[in-house]
Amino acid sequence: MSNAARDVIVEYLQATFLFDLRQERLDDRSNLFEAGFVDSYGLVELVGFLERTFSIRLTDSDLTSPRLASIDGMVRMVAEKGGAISHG
Amino acid sequence: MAEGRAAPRRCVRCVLPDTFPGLTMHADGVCSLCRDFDRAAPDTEATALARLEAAFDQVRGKSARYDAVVAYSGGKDSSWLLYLLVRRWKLRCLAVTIDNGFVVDQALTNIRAVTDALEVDHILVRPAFGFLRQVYQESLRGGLHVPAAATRASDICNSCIGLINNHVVSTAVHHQAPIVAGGYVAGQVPRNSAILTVPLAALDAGARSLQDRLADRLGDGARAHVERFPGAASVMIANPLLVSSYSEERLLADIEPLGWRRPVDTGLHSSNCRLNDLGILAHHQRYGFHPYVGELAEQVRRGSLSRAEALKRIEALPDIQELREEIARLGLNQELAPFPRQ
Repeated sequence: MSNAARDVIVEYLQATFLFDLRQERLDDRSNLFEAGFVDSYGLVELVGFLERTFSIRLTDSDLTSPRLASIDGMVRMVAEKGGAISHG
Repeated sequence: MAEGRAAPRRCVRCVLPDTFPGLTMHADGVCSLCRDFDRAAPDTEATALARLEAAFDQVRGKSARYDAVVAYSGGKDSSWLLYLLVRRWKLRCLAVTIDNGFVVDQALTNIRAVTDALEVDHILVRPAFGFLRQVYQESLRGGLHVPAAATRASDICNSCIGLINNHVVSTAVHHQAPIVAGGYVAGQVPRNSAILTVPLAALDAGARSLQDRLADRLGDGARAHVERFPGAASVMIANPLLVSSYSEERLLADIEPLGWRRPVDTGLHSSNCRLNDLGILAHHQRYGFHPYVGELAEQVRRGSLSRAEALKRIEALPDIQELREEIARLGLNQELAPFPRQ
């Protein structure tokens, strides 16, 4: 599940926020906000994507968690909430 | 179309061009964003409207003075937003206008007429023009915003939106108003943002990022123009026009009786700002697509705009000869036009 979730998240992030992980020399722990790829508008989009795709609900504390800034953090957040990829 | 570029291939369903970043065009001529739209099964408008109204019911009349602080440009969309918030949802509103130095006289007249007719308190903020001029100069040089911002609006508009959002949230915090409302329509904000509760800490992260980007280009003094939001409280961000069956005919029928009149000197798309056309032209030259195409495509997908009308709007481009006054006021010369491609 984690690998599948990671792949879905990475594909979404690269297509939506217009970067290439390798080209930008980013890894799964990179902070995508500090790297200049996600802004506050992007945060709202990202929350919608995670909730919709993995059928989870993010709390206020999730929205301010540094985990939401990295691929690794997002994957762990989804796993802890029991997220499953929705094929709707 | 920018000089020297071939005509873009457009999605046969929504109008997005193949120059739009991150877009894949499928063999049947339909773009990846249309496919995503079909798969996403977003909230129906009725469901999202019910959530919005439940949130309004929860806060109405509870705070000392205002239920909502409204980002009010004086344009047609935010005028309709204010009308709906006051007349339909009976919220006590404080309207906030940021005059960027390019708001036309008719828009200021409209603001007075609409706020008077709706009995709404109003604040007009005029940031120092020297600061704004620097912000716009840097916007036109490019690279001030995250790459994805170019899919949403011009660099100039993105700069304004960042500063305006910061001002209205700051005003809401100051007045302890629970709601911050914007007149954004489909395609200008994420689909899931009709009503959202957002911790101030998350908004503070955005404010810090805006400070950093401005300081990087303009120096540390630019940080003072952006408010930070310490504290553990939350605000509700409301974008009611996403769930209000938006149509120009409908909104004009509501706001014209308030005294709103369409300005004639705001260019091709705006109904309040003379700088908008310069942003459109620069964006088109730099990125190879019209900055409004993303939002118009979304409106076509949602059925609130015909594809033919969307095409008509994005194929008309401003004439730089008519933008000389704005270019001069920004302290630019013609060397910046054409604007550098990225």
